[in-house]
Amino acid sequence: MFTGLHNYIQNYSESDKFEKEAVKALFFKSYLKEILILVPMSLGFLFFLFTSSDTYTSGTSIVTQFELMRSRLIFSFLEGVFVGITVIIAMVQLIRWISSQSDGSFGYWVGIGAKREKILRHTLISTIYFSTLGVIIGFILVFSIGGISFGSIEILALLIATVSNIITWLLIGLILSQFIQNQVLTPILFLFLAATNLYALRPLSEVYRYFLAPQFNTTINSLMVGILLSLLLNILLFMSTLWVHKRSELVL
Amino acid sequence: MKGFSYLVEDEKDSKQLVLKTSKIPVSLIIDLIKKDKTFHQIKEQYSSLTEVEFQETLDFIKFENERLLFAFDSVQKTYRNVVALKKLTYKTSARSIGLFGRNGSGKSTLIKLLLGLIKPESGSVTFNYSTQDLRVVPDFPKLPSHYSVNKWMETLENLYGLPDINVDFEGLFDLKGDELLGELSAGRYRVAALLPIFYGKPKIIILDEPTTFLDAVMKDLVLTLIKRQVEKYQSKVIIASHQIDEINLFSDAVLLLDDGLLLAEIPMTDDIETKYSIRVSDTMEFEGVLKKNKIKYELKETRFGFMFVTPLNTKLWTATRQYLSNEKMIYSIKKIDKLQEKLGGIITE
Repeated sequence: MFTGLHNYIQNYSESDKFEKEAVKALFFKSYLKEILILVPMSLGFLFFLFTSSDTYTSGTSIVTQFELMRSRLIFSFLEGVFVGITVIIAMVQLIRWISSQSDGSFGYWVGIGAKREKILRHTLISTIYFSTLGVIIGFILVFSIGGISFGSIEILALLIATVSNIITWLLIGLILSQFIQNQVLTPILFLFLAATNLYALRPLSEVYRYFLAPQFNTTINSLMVGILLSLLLNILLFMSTLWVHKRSELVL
Repeated sequence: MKGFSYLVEDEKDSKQLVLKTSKIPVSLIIDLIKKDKTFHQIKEQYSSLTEVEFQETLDFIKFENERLLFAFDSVQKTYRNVVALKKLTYKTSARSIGLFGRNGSGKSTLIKLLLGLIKPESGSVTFNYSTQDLRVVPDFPKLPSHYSVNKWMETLENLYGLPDINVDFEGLFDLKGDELLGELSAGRYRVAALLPIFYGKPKIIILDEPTTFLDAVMKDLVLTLIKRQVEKYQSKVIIASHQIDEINLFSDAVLLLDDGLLLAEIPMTDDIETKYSIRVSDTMEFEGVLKKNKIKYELKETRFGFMFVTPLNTKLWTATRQYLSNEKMIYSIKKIDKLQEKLGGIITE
């Protein structure tokens, strides 16, 4: 069994090594991994400090606990994650994506043999992996300090919805950078979209919230529908990004 | 003895040739290619080798030699209304190809098309080599500038395997391990970009202006090392350059490109007659001496005056002695470059 596991790990580390090196060199410079993990954790702590605290007792039902927490702490934390992680990370990767394609560094890695669609896939996987790790730590921090049980299905759904939302905005950023390859205009346009999402569209439209902000739904049913629709949107966005990316011309 | 096996696949023709033998190492295969040895000569060295295994090895070598290097079928490429390649149709199995032409002639476009970085508007490109076998050094390589030299070498080791050459790169190329690639001078940055060639066993090397920014000494050193690597692994080479000496060093054939058109394919094989250019103080006197010795010659007018072009001939030295004995002067005798000779009027002194 251990030999099988060892072979699996060996094969995994050997497969796509050009693409993994390319992603490391192009998208994970300047301590981005550490930032992805530490920022949500710090956000969790800060939002706990600056949110008025209610005492949750073991006598309160889980539903009530969850609703109270949602209104007071979780929503503030999720807003923080959206601004501090989802938007900023998507924008950082968007700028790197544009600059690496225009300065020839992306072309260099594709030129030496890395497959461009695999680079896109590994960029997404790595960004999601590290930001999810950060969000989980942030969740644990918020819930444990708040004295809330985090074994419930609602909290798991909330976590999945948050991660799915990170993927959505990351893909929106990448697809935008494929169409408008401008290091100034594209981030501004992306920020405008994110701000519209935060302040205008999300409070107004429930349908919009299902797709682009599933973690802000208030009931478990709407949360589940939000996860499904947001995952569906992610698949569509990923396929479109891949399609556009494969047809784009690279500078060497 | 350690076992060796080789696998060659030709995806286009769905052909596969497998050579499995426990007796023949790579060095012997290279020896066979170079020296055209017979079975009995090899048998002396490798007593357990059978005739079937020997024949298998020769088939393998033949297959490798005839393997398609690349093919362009009616390929057209345009950049913002400027045609970079015009309906290019060309295929080759040559071991090495030089791309020669002035700026904007289509050399780099051809390389980008081979690597799949850009797509042609029409036509198709065939180039089937695995990532592991390929080494590419573009004209302006964009290396990860935040990597140190040591980290870059570790990355190359991870990607291609250990360098199979007993050279201290840091000492030889004046690279310091902790220096960042982004902080290297242009010449040393170029050397860092050339390092992938020396790691692992490259089967195909693509070079675009490989010695730009290198000083004369470093250029010679780098070219010698690359040549050694190419010979050691029988690597195929595609080189684009403005330097005739670089093209000559690596190419079996040269593609002459101009304005996106393939003007000519120039073979660079050894059967091309070696010629010399001679400049003298008295053209008429020297012409008389050449005629007297029955030496074939051409008289060409260049911007520096008249120039004799003659083939290599033992009588030529007798003729020059006779000419010099009349107190005349020879300004220069130069061996004419094969490519230069073929290009004729395009490149003149």
